[in-house]
Amino acid sequence: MNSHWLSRGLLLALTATAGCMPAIRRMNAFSSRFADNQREPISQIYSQLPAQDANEPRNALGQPIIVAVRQGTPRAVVAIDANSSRALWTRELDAQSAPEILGDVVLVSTGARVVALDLRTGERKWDLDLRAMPFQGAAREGNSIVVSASSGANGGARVGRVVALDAGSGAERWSHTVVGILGRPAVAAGRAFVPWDRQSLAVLDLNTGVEQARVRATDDVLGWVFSAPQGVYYGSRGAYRWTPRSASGTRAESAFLANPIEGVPGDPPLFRDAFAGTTGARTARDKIRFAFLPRAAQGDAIAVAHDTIFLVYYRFVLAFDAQTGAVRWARSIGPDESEVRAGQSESALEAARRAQAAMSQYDIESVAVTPTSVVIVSGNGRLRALDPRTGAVQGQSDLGANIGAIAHDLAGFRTPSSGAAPAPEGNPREQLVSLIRDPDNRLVPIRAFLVRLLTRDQAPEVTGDLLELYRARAIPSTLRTEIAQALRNRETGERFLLEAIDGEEDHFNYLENRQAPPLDVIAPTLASMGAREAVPLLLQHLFDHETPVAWVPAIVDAIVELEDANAVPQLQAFVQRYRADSAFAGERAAPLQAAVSGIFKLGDAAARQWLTQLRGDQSAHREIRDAVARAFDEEARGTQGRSDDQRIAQAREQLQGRVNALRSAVQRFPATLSQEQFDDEWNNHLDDLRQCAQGVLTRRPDLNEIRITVTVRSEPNPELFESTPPAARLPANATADQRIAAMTTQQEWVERQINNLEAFESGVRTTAYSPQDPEMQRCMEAIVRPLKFPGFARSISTRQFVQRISTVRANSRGTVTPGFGTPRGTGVLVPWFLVSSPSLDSSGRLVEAPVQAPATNNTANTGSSSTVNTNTGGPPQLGGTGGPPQLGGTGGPPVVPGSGSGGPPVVPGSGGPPTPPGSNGPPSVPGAGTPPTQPGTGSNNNRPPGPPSGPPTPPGTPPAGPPTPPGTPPTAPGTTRPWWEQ
Amino acid sequence: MRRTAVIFAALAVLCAAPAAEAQRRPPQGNRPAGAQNGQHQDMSFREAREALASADASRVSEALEEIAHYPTAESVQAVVELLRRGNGDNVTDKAIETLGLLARPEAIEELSNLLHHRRAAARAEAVESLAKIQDPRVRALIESGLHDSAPEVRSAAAQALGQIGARQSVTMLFRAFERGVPQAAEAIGRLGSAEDAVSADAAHDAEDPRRTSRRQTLSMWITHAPITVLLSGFEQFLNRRDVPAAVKVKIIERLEQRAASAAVRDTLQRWVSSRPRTYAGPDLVRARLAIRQIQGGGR
Repeated sequence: MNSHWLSRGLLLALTATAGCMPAIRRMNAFSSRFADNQREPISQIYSQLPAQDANEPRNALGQPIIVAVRQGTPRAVVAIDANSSRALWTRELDAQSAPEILGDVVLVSTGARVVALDLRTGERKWDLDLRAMPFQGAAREGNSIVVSASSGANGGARVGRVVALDAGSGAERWSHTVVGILGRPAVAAGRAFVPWDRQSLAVLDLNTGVEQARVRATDDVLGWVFSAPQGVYYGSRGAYRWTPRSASGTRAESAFLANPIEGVPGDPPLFRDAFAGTTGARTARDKIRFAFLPRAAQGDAIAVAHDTIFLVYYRFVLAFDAQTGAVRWARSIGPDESEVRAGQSESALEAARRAQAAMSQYDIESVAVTPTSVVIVSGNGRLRALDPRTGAVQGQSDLGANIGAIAHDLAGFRTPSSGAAPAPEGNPREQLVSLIRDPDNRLVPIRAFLVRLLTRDQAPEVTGDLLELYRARAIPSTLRTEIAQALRNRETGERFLLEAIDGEEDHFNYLENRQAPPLDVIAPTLASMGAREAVPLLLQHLFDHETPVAWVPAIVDAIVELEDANAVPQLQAFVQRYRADSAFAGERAAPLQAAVSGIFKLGDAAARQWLTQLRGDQSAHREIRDAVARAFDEEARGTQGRSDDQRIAQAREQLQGRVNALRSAVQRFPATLSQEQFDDEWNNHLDDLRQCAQGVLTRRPDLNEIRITVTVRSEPNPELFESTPPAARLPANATADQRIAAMTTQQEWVERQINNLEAFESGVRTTAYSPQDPEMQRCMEAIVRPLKFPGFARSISTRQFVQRISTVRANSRGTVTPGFGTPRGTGVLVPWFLVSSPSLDSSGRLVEAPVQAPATNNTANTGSSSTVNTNTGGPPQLGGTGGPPQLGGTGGPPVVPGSGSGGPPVVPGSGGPPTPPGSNGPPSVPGAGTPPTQPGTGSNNNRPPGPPSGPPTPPGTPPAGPPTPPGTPPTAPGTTRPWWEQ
Repeated sequence: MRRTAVIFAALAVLCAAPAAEAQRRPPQGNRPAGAQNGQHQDMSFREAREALASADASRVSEALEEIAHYPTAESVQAVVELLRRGNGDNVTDKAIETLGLLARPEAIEELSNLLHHRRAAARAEAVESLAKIQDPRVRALIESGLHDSAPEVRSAAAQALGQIGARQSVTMLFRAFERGVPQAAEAIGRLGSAEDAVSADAAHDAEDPRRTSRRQTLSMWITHAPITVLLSGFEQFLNRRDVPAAVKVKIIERLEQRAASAAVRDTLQRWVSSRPRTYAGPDLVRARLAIRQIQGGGR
């Protein structure tokens, strides 16, 4: 049924944008009607992709190259021989992007234009006007360079352009401009792979620009793509290898490598974000990134070199097992690192640099994984080759410039002969601890992440590590909080905690500048570990005046939790000594109150007697006497008043449960009417509607289209969403029965709310039919008007569904055959929206060709003055201008709204300007924004409609809630028929 | 008999502590002030002990004053019991003071516990009371007060060490001085040897005391600590008879050379004035010279 609905609001944005767009031409790529996730073309492309490990430079010089933007004024682009660190050339240029090394040219953006520099000389070869769109990136194969530019990834108009250029002259070969965002492309096997709207990967013929295949992620976002000798890889937080399995559009079915390292601050994708343009300067994004090298894998599997994923975070480098996420090694780059220098001059330079440099000079601006090394380049121009297995510095060299953005082609890279340094000391656990201790307070977020990483290990030693870290003075408070939390969750390593509070050394000492052990953390942890042997030590610290008062309750609580009755006399002594002392008066009485509670719980009859006396001791602080009284009272109520309490608690719990249910129902209440909800009701009346349609088609055999536009309106009262019961008015001394009665009343209110919410319906507000056949209208009106749908949340919200039916002309002579719905392959006509253009030959006859998924022709609009444009141009044409001519002329479908019927367009504003931006955003695919649609391609969209406008879903969030679950396979031809034929 | 005992006790304390500390003691005869002016009826020990159980804080205080006249183990026991029952601040502090007045070794254990009292004032009082007890265990306990987080306790401990003549504590007092306990300077002046005051090598004294690997001297701290604080220590050295005149000459030289100021001049002037008229040692001559030099060119 989905197949019958015209696409929702897409065209609105599309038309709105069209006015400020360059020349719109018929698209042979990025069409919203293009069938994605088709196994056949995807497999065909896969078969042509390379799949070998190779380490040959791709650039024209045939040697490993680094091209960097030099920081400072003026900026310059520098090409450096990576093996010798010798500068090949320097070109002053106001570079506004990271360079791209593309064969014999280097491409770099200057803002408005992309400039091509000769890789050998740095001379300017040609440039390209970006038409005010930020440069995203480029890729090259053979003599073709594909450049993408896009804006709107972070808000604003979403426009993207991909251009294929002649690498020698910069002459444009083809281009596409789309409504949507495009990312940095990749090229391989004569095709350009263009990431699109963070959800799709369009594969275009490099020569013609015609789209050949498309992968659409249905349960993920696609944030990047790159080609390598091992194949084409794409993904976001995980990595996919392009294989036939990519046609599934799902992680589970694809060749997918999930990144086992989650929670890295900054949430970097597994590869450079193709939609986040570079600036040419140093950016945090460049300093926080994962890196991996694909490895040729058996069959259609995915594998990474060294089985390792590397993470760079400013000055830190970490290596993780690609499968388990276990830390293989971790190290920092920084002032403390011993650096071996080749010559005296270099040494002096380095010494001066080191003396002057701030920590940030050591930030890693670039990382690349080669078969033998992890090559990192710091902002100060120092290149280091690290051993992928150990983190040892294999060698290092100085690039001689302060580096901003970097591009590299390091195939064939040889590690520098000087500057080797050993692997970071210790095992991975110790290395993590070392990084957590790093004094660079810019890196507190990653240090906190490393704490969490460390605590995955339940080895007892980790508890000791955490304790030491917690006690380290230089640890910032936020990090200390993280460590404290980690300590409290430990289950092993109690001996480290006991050692920390045992002995003379473990008390505050002013002269020795020693702090008290963190008993606020240690005591609860020991208690949770059940370490009874800790009680004497805890008591010792209880009586130590240097133990901060704020920690005393935690100590007492721990003693109580450990249930050591032997502690009672000392707790009594503690209370006794301070019962009237100002040290614990008023608000400071909490430790004594805790001790009282402990004595009450653990003490024997004598202790109870003692407490009784304390209660009557007028010289004792009132707070202590109250605590004693409370303890006795609670116990008394526990025995005598338990039944009342239980009844009240039960009633409260029951009420809370229903309130929660109501809140849940309110939250679930849909913002708009979903496709399924509409279908559920609509489908019940298909037979009746079909009869109406048959009737009019009988009367008017030349009819090409029947359209029904339904506006559904939901006007819920705001009170419907109230989820807090009215407050009960109870006397101060209300009895248990009164309280329960009040809660029962509240619960009844809650039940009414739930019922009202569930029963709330929306109804048909307006209808419009085309053609304006009175009989058909009467027939359909009788069916459509009474329809009731589930309510939706917007106080005044309309929703329009436009159903279009048309038939295909039998031949070019213009006769119309009303024989709709005939299965494919029978030579008989099917409704046009079931047929992609190439499936019709020049005479309009059906040919064997892939049949597109039925168009979903529904359009949502939440604006009160809603208008829906159903079709302004005609069905998208595959093959563009070179494709076969379309039925009914070159520009439109056989039936233009209203044509042939003699009536006006059914939908108000059809063909006119769409709803103004802001009143109704185009439906967005979760995590990806608006599904792309090309200007002039009509409103048909073969993808399921996204949810109504709303905040963009964060990347990585699985798509949620659109009417048709992403990934729903296209309806097989011949199995699905138009609603009026079912 | 009672008067005799009190006199002995007072003498014992006087022997142990300098004159200044003696002023803190109860009036001559250990009579409470109220008793002396006739407002107070003397209690018997038994009455006083019973009064310690009173809920009236002022009555308990009076009883403590009375008990202070009975420096016996039984008195200590009574006060300790009072302390362990828990009291308001005034009674607690008075009781601790009383333990000091009793000056009995039986009080050491309780005073040791009180060094960990939650109130700094109580801890400082305990330090002072310990200083009044002649017992070898006392020094270590007082030293522990130097490690306390409360400045008033550290200060009391430094002073107490000076009062009890704890020469073994000089190194720790230097450490305390380094960590910002100004009263340690005076204690060092009272307790330190000539080598603690000044080095024969002027270069040694010019080193940074916080970084030196050599023995610290008080002179090293000139220019590293407030001179007024240091002068309290140097004045003690100058006043001591056991410090050779040659050492005092060096002290005066260091002060003149490295800290010439009105404060130094006034201190030297005061010291010169306090010398016997018949005395004409080299230190006195050097001091007069320094005073003239400072008056001429000093600040």
